[in-house]
Amino acid sequence: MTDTSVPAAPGPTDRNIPRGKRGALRWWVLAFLFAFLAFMLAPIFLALNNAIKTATDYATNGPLALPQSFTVEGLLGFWSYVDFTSKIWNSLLLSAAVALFGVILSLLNAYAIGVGRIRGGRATLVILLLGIMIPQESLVYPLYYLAKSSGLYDSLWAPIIIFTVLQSAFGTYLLSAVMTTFPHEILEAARVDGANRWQILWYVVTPILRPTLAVLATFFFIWTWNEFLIPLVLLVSNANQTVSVAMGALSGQYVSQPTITAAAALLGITPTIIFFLIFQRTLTKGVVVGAVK
Amino acid sequence: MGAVSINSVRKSFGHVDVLHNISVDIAEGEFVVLVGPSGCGKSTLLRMIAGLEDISAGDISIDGRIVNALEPKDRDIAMVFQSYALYPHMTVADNMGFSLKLAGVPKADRRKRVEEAAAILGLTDYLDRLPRQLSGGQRQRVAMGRAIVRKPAVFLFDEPLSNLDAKLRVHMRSEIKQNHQRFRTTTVYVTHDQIEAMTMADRIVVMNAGRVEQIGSPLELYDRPANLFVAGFIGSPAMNMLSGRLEADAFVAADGTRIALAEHRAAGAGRAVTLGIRAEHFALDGEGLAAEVLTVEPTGSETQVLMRLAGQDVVASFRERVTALPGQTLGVRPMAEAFHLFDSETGVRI
Amino acid sequence: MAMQTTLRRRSSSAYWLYLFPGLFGFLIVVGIPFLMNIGVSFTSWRGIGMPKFVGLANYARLIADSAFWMSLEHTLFFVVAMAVVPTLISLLVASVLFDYISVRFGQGLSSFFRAGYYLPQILPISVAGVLWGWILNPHGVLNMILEATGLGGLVGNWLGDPDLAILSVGFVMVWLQIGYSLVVFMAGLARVDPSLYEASELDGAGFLQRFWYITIPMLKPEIFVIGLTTTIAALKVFAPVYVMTNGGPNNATLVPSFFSFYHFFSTVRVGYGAAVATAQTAITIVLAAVFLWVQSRQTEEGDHD
Repeated sequence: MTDTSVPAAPGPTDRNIPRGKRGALRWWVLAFLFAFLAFMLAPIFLALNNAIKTATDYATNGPLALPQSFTVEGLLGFWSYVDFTSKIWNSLLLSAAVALFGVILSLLNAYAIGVGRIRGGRATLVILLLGIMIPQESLVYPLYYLAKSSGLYDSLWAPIIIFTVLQSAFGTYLLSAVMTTFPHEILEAARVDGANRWQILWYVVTPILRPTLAVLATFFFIWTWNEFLIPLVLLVSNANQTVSVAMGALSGQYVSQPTITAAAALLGITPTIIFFLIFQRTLTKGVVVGAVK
Repeated sequence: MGAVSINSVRKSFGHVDVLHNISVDIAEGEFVVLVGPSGCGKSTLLRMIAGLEDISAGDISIDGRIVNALEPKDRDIAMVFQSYALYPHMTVADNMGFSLKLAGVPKADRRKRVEEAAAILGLTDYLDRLPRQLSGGQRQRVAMGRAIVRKPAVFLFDEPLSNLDAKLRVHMRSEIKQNHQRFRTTTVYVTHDQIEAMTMADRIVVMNAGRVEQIGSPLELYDRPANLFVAGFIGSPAMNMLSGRLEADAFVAADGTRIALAEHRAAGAGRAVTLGIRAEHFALDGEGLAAEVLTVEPTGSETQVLMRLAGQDVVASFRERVTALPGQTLGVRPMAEAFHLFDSETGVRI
Repeated sequence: MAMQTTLRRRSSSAYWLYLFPGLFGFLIVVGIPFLMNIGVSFTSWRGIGMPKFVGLANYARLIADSAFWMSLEHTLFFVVAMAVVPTLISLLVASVLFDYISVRFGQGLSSFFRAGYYLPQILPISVAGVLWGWILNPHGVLNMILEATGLGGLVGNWLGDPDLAILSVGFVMVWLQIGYSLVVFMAGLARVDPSLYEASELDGAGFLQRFWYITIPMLKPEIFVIGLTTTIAALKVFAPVYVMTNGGPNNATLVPSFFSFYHFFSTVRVGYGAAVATAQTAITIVLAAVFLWVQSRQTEEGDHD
């Protein structure tokens, strides 16, 4: 209180009130961030801009000009050429199945480790984590071989099983940490109320963790949607391929037809944009990775 | 039904014994409070009755049946937890009916029993709410409702009021007591608050460092504490303890002050003793001992005076209004007929 | 006494039941294939018939193979492009968004930027590859723009020139990775007590000082996590190389993952591919172990303070 004479000491509430017209710096910073945003999103807008042009329009006015023409020929052509409907369907099926099974498996594992506190629980977690770190390349050939010998080659079941296990390794790690901090009195109350282990998991733990499980499922879905190497190796026939693999197979094919490539890229981007709009809040909170500490 | 018998029970974690040879018999319908400082083992004992902790040795029986190996749900008990442990995703009705649902009670029957319990606890209007939409006192009631619905042989309470503010605590205290009078269900209640213990219990078990110090009715403990620990733990303000030496007819404090005893005690003369005097057992007496006043705290109904007597700090409470100021000298007379004498070495009452 | 002990063991072991499906799956999908891969790396195998045991021959060949060493060099480059550069950029951007934009323009705008910068991160890499391949090919968008704006002198064969190709792929990886670390850093900053920034502002600390003395130390755990995860991701880079350059031109963008894939499925020298993959795994695990060791030492030191 001895310093009350110091003029204009910025008060602690200062942060909440915009500091008004203190220089033009803030506008420069804002402009810079917008420029950076434009740079980050430019490729996507370029694809959109050129996917709906005719080839002549592209050739004469260049990629930056707004479309003078409008055509969905490129989009439709590419769609039917690669049978995009079946690619989308395969990707959806694979990703949804992995999200569901992966969460269930993570839940079971984490229940044993986090709530059951079984002996060797920590060691199990370490092994699972190592499993996540192993490059898929050192698993891919044996998996390819095993899939072939078990008749699961070129079936969606093979990547469903593989990704369910791989994703659940991470899910187990995350959920174990969550379950270790689960209020033990609630578990005990359930025991006193007469619930057995299975009922505690199903009626008490799962509903309480539902928000976390939803986040986990979202990430499993997106990660699986984006997986490339294993579907590339295991799903050979055109009818079984995923969006990701179909896109990879495109490389360099349409160099001479830039608007078709733009259309292809746009089609590849669109599902992701849709997921992004639906799950934006979940995805950008960084919850999943933030928990790994 | 509902007698609980705890028979030479021990609990150890690894090589550390947290409960040593505890035996308590709780009669049917009795309200017994386990009280003691934190870490004394009272909660562990309660959780062993509940079946949430293993019993290292000895046995516990409920209703004459040894329950050591039984799951909590098979012990015919219900428990109210310190944090209430309500299921956050279930409505009040579902919280209260969960045990019945698991036991396979038909839905209509379940509803009826939940509504009965809710009516008793004044929760009828809240049955469709979630726990987070309730106040602390209401949550507490739901936790009790969950226990009542099951009509168990024994209620177990683990510090159920410690999360409430002081006023609500007093209120819920009497509600729990009223419910006990209504149902007459055997109740074991754990608290660290001796006032809660005194006001609620039929019988109190005072525990310390994993042992039972004394078992008795509240007034027995207050009037005849068996040892220094109980004497210091029960009663507020805490009993004054003066250390000194015993002579045939007097207590001699460390500084030489003589305090006359009510009876002749030739037997223990010369040994080191602690004289316990409760705050209300001092009378104002100009002829009495001279005490230096340190602080005066009037509450209206009584006046509490912290003073220096026989070289030690002593709290006295008087019905009279004391006008003395700090620094002045006050004449007081300890009431010899209400003295408690303890052996200083063993702590045991003489 | 004995009865209680058995009872307890039974109750704990009952939880193993819940772990069983997960462990079984892990054994089938990771454990056995991993061991098979190591086993195969000591053999000469064409994918059919019996593998022939050749001892360490594959590894001896590997050490002498200049392509392998080149792929490791490229991996180092990808560590820079995926772990170092995006982390630095997003640290700065996160700090500007948290300490400047959300203070002066509100939380909403800051979230908007975060979401926008994050978008590329969730694109499938193969899609990003097609997109950038379209932009960077010799007749692609970038060169057209350069020519149209009179910068024709800068036109390059971005993915076809051995000197430029790896830079181009690295640039795409930076573009992809920024969103990931940004989101994690923003989440980390959300738990920092804002009064810390207010207090330092009162003490007269400018933006850069707050960045250096508050943001960076507070985000240390996140920086470690990001460092570890992106470094591991950099060691595994496959799809961008496969889609954009196919390892070329002239092995200029060859990475271990692509190298082993190539031998598994193109030359069908499975034993050699397995040796590459095993070496890659060993490097990854060692690096991760070093990372975690450094981190645990750091936190220990922190405890002593």
